[in-house]
Amino acid sequence: MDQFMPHGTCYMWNTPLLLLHVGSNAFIGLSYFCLSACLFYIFKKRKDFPFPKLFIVYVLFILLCGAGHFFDIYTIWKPYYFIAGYLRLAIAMVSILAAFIMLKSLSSILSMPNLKILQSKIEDEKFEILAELKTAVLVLDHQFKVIYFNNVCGQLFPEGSMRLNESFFSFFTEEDLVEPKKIAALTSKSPWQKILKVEKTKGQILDLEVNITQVGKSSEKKQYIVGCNDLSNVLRQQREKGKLDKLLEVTNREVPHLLSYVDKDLRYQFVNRRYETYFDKRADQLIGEKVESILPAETFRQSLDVFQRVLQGETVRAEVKNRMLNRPMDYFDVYYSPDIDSNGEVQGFVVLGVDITAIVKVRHQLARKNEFLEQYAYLVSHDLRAPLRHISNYTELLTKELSDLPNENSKKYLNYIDKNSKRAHSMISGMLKLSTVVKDSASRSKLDLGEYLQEKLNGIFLEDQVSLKIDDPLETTVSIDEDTFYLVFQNLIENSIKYKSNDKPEVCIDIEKSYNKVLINYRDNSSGIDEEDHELIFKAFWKKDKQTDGPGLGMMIVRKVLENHTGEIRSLTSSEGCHFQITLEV
Amino acid sequence: MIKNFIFLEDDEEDFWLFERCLRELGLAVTAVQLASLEKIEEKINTFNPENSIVFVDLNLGGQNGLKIFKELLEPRNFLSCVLSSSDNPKEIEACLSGGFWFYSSKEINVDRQKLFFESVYNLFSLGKVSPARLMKLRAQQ
Repeated sequence: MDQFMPHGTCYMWNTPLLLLHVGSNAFIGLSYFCLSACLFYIFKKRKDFPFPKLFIVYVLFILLCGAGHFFDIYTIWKPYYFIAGYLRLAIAMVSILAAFIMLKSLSSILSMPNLKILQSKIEDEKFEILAELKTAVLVLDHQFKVIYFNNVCGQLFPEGSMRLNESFFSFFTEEDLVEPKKIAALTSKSPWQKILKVEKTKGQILDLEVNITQVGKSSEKKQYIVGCNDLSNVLRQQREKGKLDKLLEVTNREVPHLLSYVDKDLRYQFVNRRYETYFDKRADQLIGEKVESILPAETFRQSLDVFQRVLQGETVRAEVKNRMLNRPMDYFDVYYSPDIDSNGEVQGFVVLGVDITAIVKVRHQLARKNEFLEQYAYLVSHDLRAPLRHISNYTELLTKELSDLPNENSKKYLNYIDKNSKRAHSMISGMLKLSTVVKDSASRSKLDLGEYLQEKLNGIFLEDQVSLKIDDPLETTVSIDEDTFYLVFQNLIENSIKYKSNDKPEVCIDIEKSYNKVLINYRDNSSGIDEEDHELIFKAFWKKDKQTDGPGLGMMIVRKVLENHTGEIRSLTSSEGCHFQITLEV
Repeated sequence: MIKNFIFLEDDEEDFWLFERCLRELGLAVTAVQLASLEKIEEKINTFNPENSIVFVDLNLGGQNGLKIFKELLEPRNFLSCVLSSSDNPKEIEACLSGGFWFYSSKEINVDRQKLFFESVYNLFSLGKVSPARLMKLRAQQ
């Protein structure tokens, strides 16, 4: 280094010249350092900067250039020209590298789009994207006029109403009008959201959830992106659910019967509060529980068959006895309705249990009373009929013993005694029969009426007693008590025989069916009934002919049996014989 | 052949009438009255079920005729029928399902009562089936 002179020597240590070089190099070096620091900072912050290698090489190049200028200042006093040369060499290598990378990237750099074109393209693409969206989207200018709307808008707004340059708020109904200024103020901070009503077609109001977002800050460039979602179905479902929840709440609180929903695994999914009265548990404790674990074993066993039927889709009504611990026996009239889904599969069933304990108790009391009365009637009739039978039979014997008596009056008196005791016996028998039909019959069976009457009446009457014709072309089915219903026709036919007008009584029974009634016309060829007697015949002990046998209770029995079947009988005027019209409700 | 018509009957007037009916019919049967439970228990074993028919009044001095039949008559194969003033359907059903041969109400006409006894007698007059045999056949069914 000693053989070289410092660079200042060349400048003859002229102070102004030295200052000029030192100052210039120092400023250039500082500027280069500053430039490279800034570039490096930009590079660190903008990760998306294109051509990163080129960028780094240029930062290095500028940095080295800066360093070269500072070294030039140093060589004014210190002649380290080799180091300065190496530095230049490094700069040369980096500059070659930079030039190489620049050349390599040249085509890419040249192909980079113009920013304005890019912005315009982005704008176009924005609308293309908006057009693809499934949500209704509008773009509004700073005055809230429509500058873009996608196709979905047509499905939400009235047909033909959506036009460019139209004020956005003109689409909404009066009560939902909002002030644009307020929206402008609000959206400058955060997106604005409200549910607005729009009349899609006459009478069809849609609830739209409108979201407005402001884009662009300057008043001219300010735009609003509007997204509209049709919430009509959601809100309707919410309203319906609200109504359902209300109904469920009222049902839960107010319905005075047991109401529950049981799923197909026989678990309670809903029970109303009434369950708490009977099951000594809170309603929410019962939900999710197996029916088997809640019902007493006997009740569950009794209901199992019903559950199986309901789960096969049958609607069942059953009377259920239930005895819980510390409770007397409860009786319920229970309706089980299956919950069948759209695939026809039973998902569970609804149970409605009406407490009929009080009714059942009255029914039991009534049954006991009826039984007692029946037994009492038979006992009384037995005790009354025995002496009457004795009077009658012994009078008969006495009449036989005294057959040779010349006194005709005695015979007549004995005959009176016998006849009247037999009549009293017959009346008691008739009253007893009446007592059995007055009580409401408990059991009803669905029967083919014509077939039933044919079988019953043919078992009572012989062919030579009466010519019987039953006509039931529609094979009418009725719900009747088969132990008593035939008594109607037995008594009518007995009367037809009793009051026959010729040798062979003829009876014709026509059965017709209308909408909800069965009409039975009974006609015979008897001596008939006078018009003024049409109602009298149904009175107790009334007889057309006092001399005929029987207690005179037959027609009363007929009416009582029919009343028990919610039916009625009328005697109609007929040119020949009797005509009775019987009406039964189906 | 039938030899005995045994009446479990506490009503003297009825028994007298039945006896008279049989007498008038001229049937070769003996009418026997057993009017109380004690009498039945005492005498029933003296009769042969092969040639006897028992007519039971259901209300026998406070005793239930069906119970007497079950305890005293059925085990001895006595063919028994009810002859009662009552025609209560429940009693009829209970008696027929309880093993009585048949149920008849006491007639209010002497001739009809006679006809009843004559019919019962004629059923066994040929002697092909004895009452006890009939009773056993019914029991087998």
